[in-house]
Amino acid sequence: MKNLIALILFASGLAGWYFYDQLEKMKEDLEDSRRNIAAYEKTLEARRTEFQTLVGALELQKKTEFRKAEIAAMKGKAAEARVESQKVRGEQKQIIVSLRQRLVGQVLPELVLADGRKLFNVRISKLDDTGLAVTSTSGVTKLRPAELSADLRRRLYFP
Amino acid sequence: MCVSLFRFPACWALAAALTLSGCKEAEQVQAEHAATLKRQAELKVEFDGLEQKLVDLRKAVPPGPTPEESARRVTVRLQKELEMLDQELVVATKDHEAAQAELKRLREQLEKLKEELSR
Repeated sequence: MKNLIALILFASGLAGWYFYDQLEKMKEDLEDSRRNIAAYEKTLEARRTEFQTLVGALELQKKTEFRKAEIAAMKGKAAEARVESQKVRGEQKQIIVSLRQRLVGQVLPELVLADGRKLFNVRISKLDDTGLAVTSTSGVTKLRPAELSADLRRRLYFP
Repeated sequence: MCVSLFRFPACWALAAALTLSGCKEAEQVQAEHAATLKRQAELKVEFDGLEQKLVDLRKAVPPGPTPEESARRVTVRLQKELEMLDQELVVATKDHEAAQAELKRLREQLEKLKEELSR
């Protein structure tokens, strides 16, 4: 009986030691796992930061491309407006030529020039962009637009 | 003497209590270990996913000493470029507005001239 109890005690001690050793190993493994997780989280945090920076950079790149497209569109519209303006100027020129043709041959009783000189009984014989030629009591006179008064310049379609 | 101690039930009870306590601790450690392994697996999945995305993203930026530095440089360069483009857009918008205003003025003049011609 004594031997049996001693055997049980020995076996229990051995089993106890084995389980205790296993428990310690499990605790060590647990600590290892915790350390691994900490290291993983640190690396992951660095990757997350890099990811955010890269995504931000790519968003900026998209924004830049969009802005470039906006500028190109705006420049295109401005160029279209300039082409249209040129067309309108051409039309204006043609109409002005027709309107000036109506004035050729008209007789003005008096023509006051920018410097104050006066011409009497003036007949317009020629009128174009470079100026006008008139016959008056003083003879034939060629006048440049700069020599005309502001009001007359406007009436004769000079800028 | 040791053997004779186990003749008393209290000694058996103590041994049983110690064994139970050890078992409980082992269970707890095992559960914690399982939880850490699960968390580790989750982190690995996230890490792998990020790495995969980063491989594609890194291709989009020019190489640098480190990926972070490279991304930072690109960001700084793009921010400057964007600022310049913003200013350029302001100038282009003003230019467009001026061209539109000029066109409007010319059209109005043209209308007046047409009216005069039709008189």
